[in-house]
Amino acid sequence: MNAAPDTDRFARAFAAARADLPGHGNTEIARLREAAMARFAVAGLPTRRDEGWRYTDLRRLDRLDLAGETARADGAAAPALPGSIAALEAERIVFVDGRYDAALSLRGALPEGARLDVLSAHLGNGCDDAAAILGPGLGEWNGAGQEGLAALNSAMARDGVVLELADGVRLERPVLVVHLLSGAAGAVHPRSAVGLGAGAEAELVEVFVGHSGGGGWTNSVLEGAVGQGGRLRHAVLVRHGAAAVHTGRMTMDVARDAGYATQAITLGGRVVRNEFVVRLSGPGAECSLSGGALADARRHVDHTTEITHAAPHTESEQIFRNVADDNARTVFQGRVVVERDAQKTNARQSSRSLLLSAGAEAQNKPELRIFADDVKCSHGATVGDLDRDALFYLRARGIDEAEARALLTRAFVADLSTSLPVASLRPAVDEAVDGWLRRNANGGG
Amino acid sequence: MLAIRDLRAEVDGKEILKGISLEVAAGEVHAVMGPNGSGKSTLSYVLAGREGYEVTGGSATYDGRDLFGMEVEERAAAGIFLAFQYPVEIPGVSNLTFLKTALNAVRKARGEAGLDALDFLKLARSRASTLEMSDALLQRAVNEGFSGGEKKRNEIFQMAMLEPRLAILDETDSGLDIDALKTVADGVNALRAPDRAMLVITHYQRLLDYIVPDRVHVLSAGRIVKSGDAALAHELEAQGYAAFAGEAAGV
Repeated sequence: MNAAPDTDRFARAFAAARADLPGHGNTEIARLREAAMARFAVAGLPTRRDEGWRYTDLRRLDRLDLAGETARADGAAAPALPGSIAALEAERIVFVDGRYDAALSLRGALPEGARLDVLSAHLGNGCDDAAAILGPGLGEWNGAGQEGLAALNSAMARDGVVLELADGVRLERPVLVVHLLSGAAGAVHPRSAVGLGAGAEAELVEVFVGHSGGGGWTNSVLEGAVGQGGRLRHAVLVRHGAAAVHTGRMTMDVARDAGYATQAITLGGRVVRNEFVVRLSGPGAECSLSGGALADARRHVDHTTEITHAAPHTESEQIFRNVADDNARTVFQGRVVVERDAQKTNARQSSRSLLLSAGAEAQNKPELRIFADDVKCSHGATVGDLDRDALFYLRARGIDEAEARALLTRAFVADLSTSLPVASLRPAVDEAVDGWLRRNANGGG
Repeated sequence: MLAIRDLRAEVDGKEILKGISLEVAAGEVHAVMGPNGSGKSTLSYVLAGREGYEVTGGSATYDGRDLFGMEVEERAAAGIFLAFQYPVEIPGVSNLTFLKTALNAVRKARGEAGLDALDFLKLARSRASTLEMSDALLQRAVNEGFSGGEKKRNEIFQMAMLEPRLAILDETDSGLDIDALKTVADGVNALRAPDRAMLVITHYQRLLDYIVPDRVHVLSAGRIVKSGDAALAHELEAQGYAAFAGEAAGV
C-alpha cells in the first residue's frame, strides 16, 4: 500500500529498540512484536487514498523525524502535571515520554478482584496474556485503514496500563493515566488494555500533556471489553504542544446490557486523530460517544467513529462539537453499522461545527450502513458561524465583542460538558476550555 | 439627553427613516406610535447600533456624544438599553451568567467594581420577584423556550438590573395578555426617574394607558407626522393611522 522506504524507517527503529522493549527476554512477546511489525510492513501508514483517511494527512510524520522512539526526558524537560489534573482524586499513573514514572504516580489500595498494572512491568514479569494484549486483537479489528498504526503500536508498545476487574468489582476512584511529553523528536506508542467482568464498573481518564510549542508523535491504542452488565466511563483530554501529532485508537467490545461512555476533548496538537471503534455485541448493550475540538492556528483535528450494532436492542448516541478558528480544520466521520440481526437498534448521531473565522474549515461525514429492517437511526450535522442576532443581543447589553464571542463559543460546546462521562474531570476540562477561549476568542474573527 | 436631527437610515438599500427629529430630555417618557412598516423598529435598531441598519443622513447625540460614533457595547455601557421586540434565544448560556457578565461589564465601564456572585444573586432575586419571575426562569438558558410574555418580562428584568439612563422599549406590549401587560408596565413605571428617559415604541395605545407618556409622536412612512401630549394617543386610537398619514401627505 505504501512505498517501501516509509516502512523501512520504522523497521530500523524497531530493530534499534527491540532489545530494550519490555518483555524482550520472553520468546512469546518477542514473537508477537515481530508478527506485528510484519503486519505493519504490509499495511504501512495510512494515506489519504485509504478509506477513512481522506481528510487527514499523516505525511507530516515523514517530514518530521518521528520514526524512532522519543528519548526519555529528564524531569526538567517534561511538562509539569497541570494543577487541575493533579487535584483529581484518582489512581494516578504517570508516563513521561512513554515511560512509567513512579515518582509522579500516586497509587492507592484497590478492592479485591481489581488489577491495575503498568504495562512495562506486566510484560516484563512474563505475563500469560501477552497475546491478548499485543496480538492482532480489537485494535486491528475492522479498522478504517488504521491497522498499520495499531500494528506499529503492538510492535513498539512500551508502556500503558492493564486494568482488569473481576465480576461485580467497582472502582471507587477513577484510574487516571497521564502522559507527559517533552515534545522531543520521535514517537511514543502507549498501549492500554481494559477488561471489565460482569457487572464491574470503572472510570478511566487519559490525559496527554505537552509543552505549548512541543512536537513529537503519540500513537496510542486502548483496547477493552466490558462484560455483561458492566459500565466503563472513559474520557480523553488531549493537550499536546502546537507541533505534536497524535493518533489515538480506542476500541471497545460491549457485552449484553453493558455500557460504554466516552468523550475525547482536544485542545492541542498540530494533527490529532481520535478514532473510536465500538462493537455492541450483546442485546441491551449501549454506548455514548462524544467529543470535540477547540482548534486554532493551522491545527487539524479528526474524530472518526465506527459503532457496530451486532445484537438486537442495542443503543448508541454520538455528540460531537467542533470549533475551528484561524485556519484550523476539524473533521468528524461517524459510521454506524447495523448488522442484520440487530433489530430494534436505536442510533442517534449529532455533529455540529462552529467556524470562528473565514479561513477555518469543517468536514462532517455521517454514514449509516443498515442491514436490519426494524431500526431507528438519526443523524444531524451542521456547520455554521456564531449567531449574529445573539452576538448583537449580548453586545446591546454591554458585553464587548470578544467576551460575547467567548460566551457563545462556550455555549456551543456546553453539550459536551453535560455529557462528560467522568464528572470529576469537569473542572479540569472547564479550565482547559476557558484557557483556550481566553487565548483565542478575541473577536478578531 | 437624546437629540435626533433629520435622521435618515436605510436597510438593504431601501430608505426607511426619511428625516426624523426628536428630543428627549431626562425624566421624560416619549411614545413613538405608528403602523407596521412606518419605521418604528428601524429607529430603535439604529439607536442601538444593529448592523445592517445604515445611517445615511442626520445625527443623533446622547448626552452630547455622537451616538453613531459609538460601538454597540459602548452605547449600552453609556446607559442605553433596548428592550427587544423579539428577544433572542441563546441556548447554552444561562440567564444569570448572561446578566452577571452584562452587569459587570456595564459597571466596569462606569468605573464601578463588579458584583461578586452572592451580591449579584441577591440583587437578581429581588428584582426578579417584583416582575414575578421564578428562580427557574433565571437559571434557564437566555429566552430559550420562554413564552412570549416571559421573554418580555425578561427584557424588563434586564433593564431593572442594568439601570439604564435611556431605555428604548420596542413593542414591549406585543404578545402580552392584559395581566402580563400590567406586570411589565408596573416594572417600567417603577424605573421612571428624574435622571432616566424612555422611548416607548408601540403600535397600540393600550400600553400607554399604563405607561403614561409625556409626549407622543406619530410615525408614518419614516417621518414624524404629528407630536402632542398623552391625549394624542387616544385621538389616534379613535381615528386610526390613516387620518394622520393623510395629514402628512398634505391631502
